[in-house]
Order: sequence, then C-alpha cells, then structure tokens
Amino acid sequence: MLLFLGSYFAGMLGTVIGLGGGVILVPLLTHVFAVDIHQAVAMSLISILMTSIAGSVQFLKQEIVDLDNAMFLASATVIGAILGVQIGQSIPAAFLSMLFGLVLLLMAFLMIYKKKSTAVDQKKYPRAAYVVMIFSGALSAILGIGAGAFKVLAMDQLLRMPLKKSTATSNLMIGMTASSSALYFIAQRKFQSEMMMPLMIGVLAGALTGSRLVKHLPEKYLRVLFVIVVTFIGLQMIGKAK
Amino acid sequence: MIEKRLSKYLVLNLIVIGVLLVVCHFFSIEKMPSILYYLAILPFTVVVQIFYYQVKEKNRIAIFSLMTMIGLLISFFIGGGHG
Repeated sequence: MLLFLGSYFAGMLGTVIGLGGGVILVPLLTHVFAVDIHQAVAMSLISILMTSIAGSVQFLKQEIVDLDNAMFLASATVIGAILGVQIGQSIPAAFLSMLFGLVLLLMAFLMIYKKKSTAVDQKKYPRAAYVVMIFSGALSAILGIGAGAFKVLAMDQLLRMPLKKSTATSNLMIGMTASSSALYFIAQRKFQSEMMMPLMIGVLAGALTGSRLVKHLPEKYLRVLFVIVVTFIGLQMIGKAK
Repeated sequence: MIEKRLSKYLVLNLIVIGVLLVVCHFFSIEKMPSILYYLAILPFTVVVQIFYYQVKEKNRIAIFSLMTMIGLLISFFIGGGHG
C-alpha cells in the first residue's frame, strides 16, 4: 500500500512538473524502499512504459504526434538505449547515484535558463538532433528516466518543431526507447516481481491525476516547483552517493 | 487516420495489461515476467503498424529507421548483450 501511494505521488508530481515518473521513482525506490539502484533503474524504466503508452493515447487522439520524426529519431534513441544498458550495468552504484544527481541539477539549470526558439534562425539540424537522441537514449537506459527534457529540447532547438508537437512526439519515443532497455532488464530479471504491480498501477494512476491537475496550475508556479523538486532530489542523490 | 486506430489499440492493450498485472500479483506472481514482456513489446508493435502505414506512403526514412531498430535489437539479443 505504501509503495502504491509512493508511486502514485511520484507519477502525479512527475507529470505535474513535466518529467514523467522516473526522476522521482528511482530516488523513491532507493531511499524509501532500500532497492539497489541498478534494480531501481530497471523497475523505473518498466513503469515508464506504462505512463508513456497512456500519455501517447491522448496525444495520438489529438493527432499532434509527428510520426515521421518519431520513427527517424527513435532509431537513434534505441541505439543510445542499447549502449546505455551496457554502460549502466558496469557503473558502480555510488557513481550512478552521483550521475543521477548531476543530471537532475543540469535539468534544473536548463529550466531556469530556458530560451525560446528564435524566429530568426529557422534552419534545421537533423544530424545534430540524431546525435542528441543517441545521448538521450543512453541517459534513459543508464538512469531509468524518460530523458524527455533532452528530447524536447533537441526537437525544439534543432528541428524547430512546435513545443506541443515535440512533447507529444517525445512521449511516444520514450516508450520505444524504454521498451528496448526494458526487454534486457526483464530478460535479466532485474526487478522484484512483488513490487511491480503496485508500482506500475500507482505511477499510472498518479500520472492520470497529474495530467488533470496540471491544467489548473499556472505555468510560472510549475516552473518554480520543477526547479525546487529537481534540485532537492538531485542534491539528495549526490549526498547519498558514498 | 492511423493515429485514431493506434490510440484505440493502445487503450485496449493497456486495459488487458492492467488486469493481467493485478491477477498475476495476487494469484500467480511467477508469471509476472511474461506480462512485463508483453508490455515491453507493445511499443514495437506500434512501430510495425506505423511502418506498414508509411511503406504504403513510400517513406524511405521510415524504412531506414525501422530496419536500423530491428537490426540493432536482433544483434543485441542474439550477439551476447542478452547474457
């Protein structure tokens, strides 16, 4: 029950701040439920699949997913995910925790200094976007997060896609990326079966609540909440990296 | 049109997975990996459907992307990444 409530909260908060559940699930599993960080990464990735698929349903209904770009860029994130799985499993837990914290602090920094795409330079850089997607896929598999922030940033800045479209496309790609690394983790049994149901159902229910809640919250407060939550978790993870 | 079809397909599968997860958790926990495999393969079935649609549209980039993904996954799982 505690796990269900915890993952419900993680899913809700993750959706409200626009990051999905992974960023909160991994620290929740490692700090509160004393799960090994490598297992937490795997369990988080499998749960992300649920939220990504549920989110994609809404975006597909609204017809705002760019399927051509999703297919093209997902091939890059899958390359990254396969590399990431190999790298992530050989990284010591303390270093992984430190890396997780640093990535979160980078996300908070990017949110504070986020620039809107300029109308002057409308040139597209598909090759650069492809490279960023490989990096984003690897990060997703190493840390157990969707890494949607990096995907959206690349589509926004390098492919000049509108924010709503890039968010929807990124959401579909998160599922494709997570599934390739999740297949590996499932085959290796890197999860605790008895925890999976409350975790997945909880994070899914939380994400659905969060998506309704987010419509009523002003963007300014969401940004402040994002920076506070992400910075706090980032520092916690760095502090615990012993 | 494919978007509407895909969203219905995903909703149906999510409901089935949700029910299977609950049943497995309470009655047959050892079957959990099979349900998780089902969930993990689901996005790839979506990719295949998009691919089928785009082949009809003769989109070469889509064909390249799918071939890359399938090739990578096969080499990853057969070529030792699995073990």
